[in-house]
This record gives sequence, structure tokens and C-alpha cells, in this order.
Amino acid sequence: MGKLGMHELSPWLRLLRGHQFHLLAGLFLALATLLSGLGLLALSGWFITATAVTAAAWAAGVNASLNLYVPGGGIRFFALSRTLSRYLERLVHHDAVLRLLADIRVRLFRGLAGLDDRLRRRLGSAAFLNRLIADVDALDNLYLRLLAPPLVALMASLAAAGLVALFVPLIAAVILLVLVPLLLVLTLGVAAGTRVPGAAEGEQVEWVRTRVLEQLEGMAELTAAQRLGDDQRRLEDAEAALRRHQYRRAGRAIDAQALNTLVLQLLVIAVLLLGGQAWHEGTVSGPVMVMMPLAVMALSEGFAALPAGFARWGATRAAAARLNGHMAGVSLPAPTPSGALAEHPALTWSHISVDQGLPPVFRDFSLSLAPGERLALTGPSGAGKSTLAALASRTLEPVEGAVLADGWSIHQWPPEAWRTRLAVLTQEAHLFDASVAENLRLAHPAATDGQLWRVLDAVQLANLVASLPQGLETPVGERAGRLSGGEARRLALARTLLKPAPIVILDEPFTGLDSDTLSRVWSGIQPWLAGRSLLLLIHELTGPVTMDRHIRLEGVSR
Amino acid sequence: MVAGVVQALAMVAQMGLMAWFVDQLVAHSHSPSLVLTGGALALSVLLRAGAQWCQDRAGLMAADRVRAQVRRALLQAWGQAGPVGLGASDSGRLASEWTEQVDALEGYYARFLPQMVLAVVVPLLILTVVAIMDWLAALFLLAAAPLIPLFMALVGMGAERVNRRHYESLARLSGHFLDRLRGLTTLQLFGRSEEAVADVARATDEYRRLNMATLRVAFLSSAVLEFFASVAIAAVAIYVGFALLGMFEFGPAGEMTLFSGLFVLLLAPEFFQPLRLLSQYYHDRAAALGAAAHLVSRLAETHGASDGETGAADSPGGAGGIQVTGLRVSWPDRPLVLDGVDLSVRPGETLVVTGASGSGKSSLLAVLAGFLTPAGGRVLVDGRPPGSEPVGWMGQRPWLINASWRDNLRVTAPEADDEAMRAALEQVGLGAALNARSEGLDTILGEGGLGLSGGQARRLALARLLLTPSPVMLLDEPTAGLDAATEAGVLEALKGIMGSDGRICVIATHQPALKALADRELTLDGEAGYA
Repeated sequence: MGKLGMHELSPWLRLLRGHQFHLLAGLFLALATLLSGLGLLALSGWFITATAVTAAAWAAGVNASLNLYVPGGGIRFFALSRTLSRYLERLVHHDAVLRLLADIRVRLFRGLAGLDDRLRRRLGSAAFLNRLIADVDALDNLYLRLLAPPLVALMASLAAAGLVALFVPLIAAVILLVLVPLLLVLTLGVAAGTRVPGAAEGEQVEWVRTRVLEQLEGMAELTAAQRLGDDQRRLEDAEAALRRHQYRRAGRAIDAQALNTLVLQLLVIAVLLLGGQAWHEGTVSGPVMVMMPLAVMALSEGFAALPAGFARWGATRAAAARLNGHMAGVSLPAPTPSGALAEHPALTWSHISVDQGLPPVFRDFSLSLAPGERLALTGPSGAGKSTLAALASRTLEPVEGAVLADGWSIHQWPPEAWRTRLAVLTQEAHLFDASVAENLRLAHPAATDGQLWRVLDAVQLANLVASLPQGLETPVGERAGRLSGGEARRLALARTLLKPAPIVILDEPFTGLDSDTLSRVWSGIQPWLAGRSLLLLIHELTGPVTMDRHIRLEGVSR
Repeated sequence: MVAGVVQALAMVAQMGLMAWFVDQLVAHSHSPSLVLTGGALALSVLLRAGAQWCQDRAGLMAADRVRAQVRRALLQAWGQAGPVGLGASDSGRLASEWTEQVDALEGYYARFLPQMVLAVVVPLLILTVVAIMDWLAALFLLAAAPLIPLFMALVGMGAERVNRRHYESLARLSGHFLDRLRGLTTLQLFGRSEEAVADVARATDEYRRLNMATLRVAFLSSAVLEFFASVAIAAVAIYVGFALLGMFEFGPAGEMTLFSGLFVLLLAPEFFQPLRLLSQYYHDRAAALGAAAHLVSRLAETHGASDGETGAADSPGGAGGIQVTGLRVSWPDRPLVLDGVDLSVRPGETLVVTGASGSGKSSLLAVLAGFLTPAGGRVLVDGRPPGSEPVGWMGQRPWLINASWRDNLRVTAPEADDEAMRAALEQVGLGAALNARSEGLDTILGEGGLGLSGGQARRLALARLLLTPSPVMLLDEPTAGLDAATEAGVLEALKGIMGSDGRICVIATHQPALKALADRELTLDGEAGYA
């Protein structure tokens, strides 16, 4: 079992406990369905043969009697119970599994939201998307295809063998001797056989999706250079490799399915012939002899779904392992006794060392921002300006030194509490695929429309937004695709200003602005900066931008 | 399909032999040879399993081919729509269409289509055999059968609609996730991660709700079938029983033997089996149709976007260079962006396009690259309509792929060798950064240029542009966000390609330093925009 990876699955199996009522009900209904089918077929066979034997006895002048009502009623009962339990079983099972999946998704997203910025970015969001959607979907296999069906098949096999054992224990032994190994082959055997292609498939799916997203995002560069065809061919090659893995996996399931039919039907024949032998010896009656192979035949329904399900074992395991990798990285910040967090603290970067890439950005660096102070930090790109913003907002932790608020390390407060003091515009500030208003209200959920218009006016966007057909409710598109680069940047700036926080950090806020617009935006935002501390990170101070203090960072390398 | 029929015939043979064996034994007290009967039965079972294997394999092969074809068609449609045509679409959603939704077609081709034929042929076959045995029993089966397609059609129509909704919601969920994940840092900075988690929970729950609606309907169709199948089996069993007892004398009932009775009973479930499988696969069909409707509308939509022809396609146009007269560009939902722009750039010249943000600089570049069909006017690039020859393009956001530096450079310049790459990197001021990395050109970049600063990412994209062999380079804000010293280095690099071999550069920018390099300058006054 270890080789098959129960280890990876165990945390997810534990999640099942939260839904055990639904799951047990589903299991019971599934068993009821299969046994109803078995009962229907076996009882019908018994009934027909019994009538034939009785008729023969009558013909021979023997006075035989046969109760027609009990078997007749039983046949009708099984016919109905099979239909009903099947329908309910499917509903109950799927609902439980989907509930379970929703749990998994939310838990996972929450875990990701708690990750450190650097760690999170390394994973890359195309890969993330794949993991969240495809891996979580793959776990839907875990119960519905991998746990419940073999359990039901095993219990039904035992029931069939038990029924036969009432008459001929030897035949029951034969049934078990064939069915138990068959069950093992169809489940664990198929799982082992498809482990390699299944895991390879999972990796390839992720790779293909990353490549698709890259092609879509580089469409302009590729089309302009007329290299789209090359890239499409590369993508098709990757996709063909994916299909080869899928084909191999599905092919093995088909092989197992054929084996299943062969073994099960041969068993039916064997039971029939052995039953014939037993009838000869007078151990069983004719009706019972017919009933036994039919009971085995009815089992085929419970076995049919096994190979296809277990062919995905490898993919399911790989998905679980990847998800575990995510969760392992999640660590909740240790709650520490907190000193009072001042309303508007002084911010100090104290003896900071950061070891991010080569060469190191900071060694023993210190800087202070007093309440209400306006400080500009300039320097070439790569000098580490953005790193200071990341340190202050705790999306990056220093190797040495600490960021202090009024002399206290900001680590003693939960990151969420600390961040209420900061309004940060990062270089990668993301605009969501939502309306202008929704994007702005992220910073200040209670903001009125009037406030939104005022902040848009400050960044010189009010006219544009007013000219849009839906005004504030206009969607900005994916990655703000409906806005120009400069417009998107200003909308992000407006959002930062709207956040009611005493310390403002703006990282290259004026990217993509011409000098006229820059002047108007600068003067427009002044009322919004009044009374707040401002750290402006910018490659150089130009024209209208004036600050209290100006520090120039010389990059270690350029 | 042939394999499917063979499988059915083998199954009929197996059931017949079994019924005969029982009949011989019980009714005639005559024991047939175990070896012969067992051998014949084993043969039929072997044939049955083999035919099943062939049928499944053939379906798998067909589905594999279909997926490859559909994916290729989608790629071509995206190519035809071009960067501007796809601009408003969510790339996460497109990616999910290309992967999962195409996969959803598999079941339809591998299982549903062959089963559809078998669901007609096999029951007819069985019905014939049963009718030969006992036509009254055949009537029982026949009575149940026609009701089934009727019910299934009723149920199926609903299932199809629900399924389409399900696929739309799946694609939206994908896009929603990608968007939230990209903005995870932003969410944290605004302290909104908890709300985003709730948002994700809501989206996921909606997915569950839609999924359940789909399944409830899909399961209903198979439950109806199940019901009829069970009732018909029960009816046949009871009829056969009473007929054997001689308590039912109508029609052929009087001639009922144990052989014919048992044979009919054994065949009764098999009569419904193909239909039951079909209804199981109906879910596949509905899923595939939902996905297909989505894919077809995508194909149609992207075809429509590329309908327009750029004016004066085969006018001689004289020498190379860029000639634009009376260019008008409009975007949906926005006022006219460009109205009556004229310009002319000769080979070897550099044109700098300036103007307030939103004045249409990017739109002009998109027209020159052939991404955007103008609303009016005449455009010639190197004497031909735009888009007929390769051009170098660099957008506002540097495009970097999750691969090595070398792969990033080669993606638009496959013939560039390491020597040329190093020279290009040196030219854009990345020489030191390259030397600082032990793996050199093989260093892997994370998604979005992770491992590079904003300026470095820009310079890497510039290096790629330098390597792209093309007489025309279009640059949208190439130096935005760079400090003066780095910008000067990049300008130096740009100067190296400007003018040489008659190269044309069109640069949209605000930077005064760039304007100084220009041979010509075009200022878009932005009157048509909002300014």
C-alpha cells in the first residue's frame, strides 16, 4: 500500500469524517442497489425453474405445491427497490462529494492566502490554477470511484457467496477464491499498472496549461513576429505527449475491463457446471442450481466501474501529493503578545539585510519615516526600492534586522492588523476582473460613490469613467485589458489613496504617464496625502514632485 | 461497432447454451458432456470479452483523434482573432476551454456515438431471438422499449441546457480563481484575503449547486430506464413462471419449455443493457454538447473578428516604409480613438508617437502590427498591408515565459545563436546580470519574469526584440519605469538597430530622452480621446 501512496491520501481521507453520515448513507444505498439486482435475477431464475419442476411433477401426476405469491412479490419488490436505491444513492453520494470538494477548495485558498509572497510567486499562478481546479477535481475520484465501489463490490461478493454457501459451501469457496483475487487485480493491480502514466499525465496537464496561458499572453509578440505557428506547433507537441499518456492509461483500463468480463463470465459457467454436478449428486434442487450462477452474473454490475476508476489512481495520488505540498508550506503566524499599535506610528527599517537573488540587495540598511513626513527614495531599477515596500508590508521577511513601528517590531502584531496602518501601491498592483467601483472599494468597502468620484478626479480619471456607458459599474476586463496602461496605473493609485491608512507607500506610481498628466495627477492627489506619511519610491524626481526629504539609493549593480 | 455486435452474438450464444444445459439437466434429466458444454461456453465468453476489448479500443482511438483536431482548430481560431481580438477574453477561461472542455468531448466519441448504434441493433437482435422463442415475451419487452426513448428525450433536453450552464460556470470559476490568485498580494495589502476566501467559497458553492442540478436531471433519465428495465424483467419472469405452470394458456404460452423460458429470462436484462449504457453515456453526450456549443461559439466569434480587410490590399505602394492616410480607429463602447491620422516613415527612420495617455498611441501601433482593422483609411507597412510580414513587437508589459533565458530570447528569434544572445543582452545592459548567474542562459525564469527586477524584465524583452529579424519594430512605452542611467543604456541599444539596414522604429512614449532620438515625431492630440 505504501508504494501505492496511501500516505499522500491519508490527510484527505481524514476529511471524509466530516461527512460520514452522507457517505455511509450513500454506501448503504449502493449496496442495496447491487443486492436488489442480485435478488431480482436470482429469484427470477429460481422461480422459473421451480415452476418448470412443479409443472413436470404435475404432469407426472405427483401432487406438488408451489407458493406463487412470495416469490412474485419478492420479484416486484426487488424491481422497485433497485430503481429507487440507485437514484437516491447517486444523489446522496454526489452531493456529499461536492460538499467535500467545496471544503477542500476553500481550505486550500485560505492556505495560499497565508503564504509568503516570495514562496507564492515562485509557484506561478498558471500552475496554481491548474492545481486548484484540476487537482481538487481529481480528488473527487478518491471516494466516489476509489473507496465506495470496491467496498460495495466486496460486500456484494460476500453476500452472493454467503447465499450459495447455504446450499453448496464448496461452490461458495470457489466463488470467493476467484472473486477476491479478481477484485485485487481490478483495483490495486490496475492502480499499480497505471501509476506511471497517470502521474506523468498529471504533470503534463500542468505543463500544457502553462504553455497555453503563455501563448495567449504573448499573442502580440508572437503574431507580430509571425512566430505564432512555431509556438502552436510546440504547444501541439506538448498536447500530443499528454494524449499519449492519457491513451496509455485508458488502454490499460480497457484491458482490465476485458479481463473482468472474461473471468466473471467464466466463473458463471463454472458455477453452473459445478451446480449441475451437485444437482446430479442430489445435493441441490434444480431451482437452486439455476439461482447460483445468476447470483454471480448479477455481480458484474458492481465490478464494471472498477478498472476505469482505479486507472486514475496515479493521477489522484499525484494530485493529493501536490496539494499536500501546498498545505505543508502553510504556517499560521505565531500569535505573540502585542503592545499597543499606535494610530500613526513612525516607521523604521532597522539594520536590514535581505538575501534575495544575486547579488544581495541590502546589508545592514537603516531608514526612518517620521509621522507625516514625505520622503522620496530614488535609485536605479534593481536597487531594492520595492524590497523596502515589501518589508514594510510584511510580504517579505528580512534575513537580519527588523521593521519597527515606534520602536516596536511589527512582528508582534498579526500581519492583517499591521497592514491597516499602510496603504501600499506595488509595481504589480493587480486590478481585478470586476467593475471600477468594485476595484476601488477593495481599499475602503464603505466608500460612497461621491468618494469614489473624488478620488478618480484626483488621478484625472473621472472624465474617462464618466464617459463610459456604465460609469463606475463598467468592468475593467481581465488584467484591466479595457484600460490603457497609464489608466490602469492611475486606477490602482486611486485605490491606494482611498484606503484610510496613515502611512502611504507608492512604488513608481507614475509609470506610463506623460508629463502633463503627471503634473495634474500630482496636484490632484495632494489633498489625499495631507497629514499622512508618504514614502515615494521612484527612479527619479521630476518637475512638480517635491518632497520633504530625498535619499538616493545606489544600486549594488546595474 | 462490428465488435459490439459480435459481443452481443457471443452473449446470446452463452445464454442459450446455459439455458439449454439447465433444460437438459432439470427437465430431461439428461446430463450433457461437461467438457463439451464447458468448452463451448468458454469459447463464447472468450469471444465476448475479446469483442468488448476491440470495441473499447476503437472508441478510444477515435476520441484521441477528435481531440487533436478540435484543439488544432481552436489554436487556428485564436491566431486569426489576433491579440486585439482576444484582448477582452479571459486567458484562464480560454485555457480551460482548450484543455478540459475539449477533454469533455472524449466520452461522446469513445462511448456515446458507438453505443447509439448498438442501442438500436443489439435490442433488435435480442428481440428477434426472444420472438423466435416466445413472441408474447417479446411483446413485453417491446412494450417497455418505445417508452424509454420518449422519456429519455424529455429528460435529455433539460439535461443539455443544464450542462451548458455547468460548463460556463466551470470556465467562469477558472477565470475567477486565476484573477484572485494573481491579485493575492494586492488582496493581502488591503486586508481583504478573508473576503476573497468567502468569495471563492461562494463561487465554489455555486459550482456545486449547478453541478447537482445537472446530476439530478442526468440521474433521473437513467432512473426512468432502470425502472422500465426492472419492471420488464419482473413481468417476463412472472409470465414465464405462470406459463410453465400452465396457468396461462394464451398464445405461445402453452408451448413454453424450461429452455425457452430461462433463455428469455436471461436475455431480458441484456435487452435493456445497451440502452442503460447509452443513458449512462448520455451524461457524456450532454457534457460534450455543452462543451461543443461553447467551443463552436468561440470558433465563430473569433472568425467574425478577423473578417475585415485592411484597405488597399494589393496597391503597389511604391517603396518600403510606412504610409498611413486618413486612419480612423474606433473601439466598442468608446468614442473614436483615432480620426484622420496621416503619417509617413521612410526606411531607416525612427518615429516617436507621443500624446496624453488614452490618446490612441497603442491603437496606432496595433494597426501597424496588423492586430486591429481600422474603421477607415489606408495603411501600408513596408509597401504591404500590415500583418503580411513579421514585425518586432514589444508591449507595455514585458512578456516573459516560464523557461530559460535562452528560450525567452528564442521564442521570436529561433535562429539566434548563443553568441548573438550574449551580445544582445550586453547591449541592453543585462551582461552583468547574466554573468552573475551560474547557469547563464540556462537560468530559468519563473512566471511573469520572477527573479528579475521590473527594469531587468523590460531589458530582457528588449534583447529579444533586438534579435528579431525584421525591418519594422513597434515599441509601446519601451523605457517606462526605468531610471535615467538604465534608460540611457537601453536607448544606446535601441540606437544600434535604429536606421541600420533601413530598419524602421515606431515608438510610443512620454520620455523626452527618446524623443531626442527620433527622426520624426507624431503627437496625437487626444481630441478624439477623453484627455
